Amino acid sequence: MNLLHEYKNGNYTIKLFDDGTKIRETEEDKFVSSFPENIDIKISDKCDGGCSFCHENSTLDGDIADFNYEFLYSLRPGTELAIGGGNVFDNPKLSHFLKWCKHRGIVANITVNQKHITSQFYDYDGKRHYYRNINTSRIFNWIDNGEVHGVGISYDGNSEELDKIFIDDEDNYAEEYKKNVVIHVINGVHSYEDIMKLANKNYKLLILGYKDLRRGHKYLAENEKLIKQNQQDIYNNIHSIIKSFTVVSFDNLAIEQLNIRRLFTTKQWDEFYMGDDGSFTMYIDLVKGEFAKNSTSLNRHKLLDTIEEMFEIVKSE
Amino acid sequence: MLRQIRRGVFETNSSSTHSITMCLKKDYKKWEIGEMFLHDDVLVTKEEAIEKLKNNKWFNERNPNFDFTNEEELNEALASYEYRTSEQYWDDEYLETFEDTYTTPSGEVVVAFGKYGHD
Repeated sequence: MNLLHEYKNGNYTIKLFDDGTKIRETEEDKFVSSFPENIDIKISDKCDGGCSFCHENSTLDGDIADFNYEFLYSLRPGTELAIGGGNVFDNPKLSHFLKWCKHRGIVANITVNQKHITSQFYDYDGKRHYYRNINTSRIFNWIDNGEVHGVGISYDGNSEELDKIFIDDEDNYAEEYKKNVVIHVINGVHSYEDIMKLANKNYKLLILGYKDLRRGHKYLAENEKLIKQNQQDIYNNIHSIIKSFTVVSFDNLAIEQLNIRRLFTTKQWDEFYMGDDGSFTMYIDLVKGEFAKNSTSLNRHKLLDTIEEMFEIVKSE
Repeated sequence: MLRQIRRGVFETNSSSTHSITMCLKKDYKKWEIGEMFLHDDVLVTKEEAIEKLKNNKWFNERNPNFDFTNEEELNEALASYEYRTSEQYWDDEYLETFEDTYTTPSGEVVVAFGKYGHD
């Protein structure tokens, strides 16, 4: 594990390592930030995924973001961007933006849907051969160049396809990229069995809570018994899941739904829990040119010229 | 000394959720007393909701002999097909809620309400 960035933010220091590990330390009794450590940044409203449980509103004819905003020049080295959409690959300026981030010392992470990186195949010599999706090649190239660090992959339940990308590739090339990758699953959409198909293969896992809203609500109404059963199975078997992956992390909704607090002592919990939105994080919608405390906040503002000005507003809300 | 550690994973989570509904205050009051239902962010009367349910292919396939005169079963069916009473809508342990009122230039009182949260 190598140190990627070490910097001071407000009254504490941050060390960020190349496997994603982050350590905050302060001599004081609480962490007070002066700029965001992580920014959830939307660069595309376009997506052809059509997932039945999705609660985002990206569409086939959605807009894409431009990057000519003054505030980008005020981002501090070491700041993490969680770049998402929509489908991030639909933004033709993404590659250029990633290069720019690297040049400025900004840690770019992207989230993609498994559907957009699935391998293609051809039959030859009586055998089926797979070749890497162009988007997967782009991701590997960005990682090689230090332009992307973390890659979130929204799992579609087809573990064989993921294994084809990361484990069974013919030239054993992809294994090394797994340390940068975290597989996103949704509590209840994915079953315990779906998750365990990825077990003991050195994958990292992020479990997201199930949101009963919009398409997610309809999906729940039509599949309630199955979803509730899946959630109960995951709840009952959370220890097995944790033991089967290199890293298992949770969003705050999953922490509630699965009562993750029960697994920790108070001391462990205080160290593990990374805080609520708005303390260390904020949201920027580059497509609409707006910022807010998080992507769901209705209290949105037009982008200002510096990140500090915007974060002050976010923190005061 | 305080220390917090995120082990072995970069920040990649960017999904979120929110909803907003806007309606006339008189309709909002009808919703509050159970005379209207919220469906796809729009308030509809009970009659409209039942009519839509009767025309829902998915529902009809699964409930060929449904008794629309049974009030309890009807309310259950409406709820499961996203026709929600005010009580059902606000009963949400995960998302934050908001409600605001404003008056349009023509004097109509509009209520804006909804829920939001994040992951």
